[in-house]
Amino acid sequence: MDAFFFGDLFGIYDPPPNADAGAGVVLCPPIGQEYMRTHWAFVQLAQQLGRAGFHVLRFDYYGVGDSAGEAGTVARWREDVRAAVAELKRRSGLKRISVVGLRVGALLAATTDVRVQDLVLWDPVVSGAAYRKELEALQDALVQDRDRFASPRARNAADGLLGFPFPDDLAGVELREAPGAKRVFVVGPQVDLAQELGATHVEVGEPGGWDRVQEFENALLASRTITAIVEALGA
Amino acid sequence: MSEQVRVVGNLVGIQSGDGPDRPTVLFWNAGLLHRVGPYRNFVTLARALAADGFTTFRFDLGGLGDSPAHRDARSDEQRALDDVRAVMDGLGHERYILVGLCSGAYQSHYIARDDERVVGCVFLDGFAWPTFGWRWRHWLTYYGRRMLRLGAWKRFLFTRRAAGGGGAGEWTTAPDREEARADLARITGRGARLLFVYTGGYVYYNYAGQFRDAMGDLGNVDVEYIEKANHTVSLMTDRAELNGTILDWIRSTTPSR
Repeated sequence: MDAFFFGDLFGIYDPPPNADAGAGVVLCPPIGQEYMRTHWAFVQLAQQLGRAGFHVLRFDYYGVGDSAGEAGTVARWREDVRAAVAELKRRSGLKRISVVGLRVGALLAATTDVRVQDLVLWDPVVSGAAYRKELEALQDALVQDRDRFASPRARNAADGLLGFPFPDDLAGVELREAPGAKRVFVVGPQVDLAQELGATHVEVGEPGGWDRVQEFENALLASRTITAIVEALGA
Repeated sequence: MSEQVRVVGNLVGIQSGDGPDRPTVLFWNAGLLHRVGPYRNFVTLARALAADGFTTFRFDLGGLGDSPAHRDARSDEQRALDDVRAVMDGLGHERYILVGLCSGAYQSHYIARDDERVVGCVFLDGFAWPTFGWRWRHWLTYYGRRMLRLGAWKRFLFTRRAAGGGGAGEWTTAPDREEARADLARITGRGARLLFVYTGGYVYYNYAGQFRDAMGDLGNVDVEYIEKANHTVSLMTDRAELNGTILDWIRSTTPSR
């Protein structure tokens, strides 16, 4: 494992510990609180991909995790996705790079102009505007939650959404067109989306609980989904 | 802002700032969260302190975040304490301030008790001790709220059982009051300063004076109670207030040499 900064961004590169499949995978995490609760799942995914022979790069977008900055924008994060793909190519010496994106990470990966081999869209956010509405509903439930607060709180725009500011330019982003990757997988319950995009649908029945206020601070447990993603990329 | 990745032993962390004249501030995992802390708040605090001339290091204990798991027979708790001490040894600095939330605060208590390099601790929702005042408030809040719910009366009257967390039986793993008071006296007796911050979302603390009622008046100890905030301080305005309290305290209690 090699942890480092490349430019403003924090990254971790894992070469395969044993057999080398000659292929690399960049992992694009969610943003905000969903980034927090999926960090552990991404560590697991990176380890399993490594055992399957892949070179893996995990990274934090600008304004997220250990990367520089207070808050990012979609425009900046698309640059970050391109920079991460370039960084994995540089470190691994490989030309064929695939991308796994989760939630907003999937939306970013699918709408960024970058050449990739395979693209895995894991529980993708398909509409920034709809996503904002979902987070607003969760925020309303959070401030009223008597199991968390001694007294209910009023909704205040200055409190952000689930603890983080929502990027202004995300509300206008939608996943409409099939991404340019050679193979596209939609992992999760969105079977209609998979059809629209001409993608392979992978469903293991392991819901992320993204819309549940009871779940938003719990680490995502996704062992079966991770196994399915590694199998899809290795096939 | 200059930050660099440092791997101490095999523990992964980020150093922010490089101020040799002030104590080094350490942050590590709260529960299972990785080193950035809830809502990335340890990054925010580390960078603010680095800008003020402190060296800070936020890192993952073995088996959490990006640090590999240890494979040995020690308990999780012992491994955590050993990891924090290994980081202090590895960085090789003379003075440390520990900032811990929940499990991180519990661990800080034991590190500070036994290690004279620790000159300050910020305990966020750390150990707390029950008092008469806590008990009656807890009873009123817990049962009072449930009595207002349909059907709760029936359950209360006929089964005397409410769903989880109602009794004081599930207390924290805090050392008992006398032992804790001796620990805290030992830490503050050598000149170290302690800040206890409790939130209204923390079931083990429910009024501003609870610490003093439980522990008496200890010198070198400050206590803040942010009743409106939840345990992880999810709301950005609450967090700004919390961070102001923490940063002011660290700046004012640890002047440059």
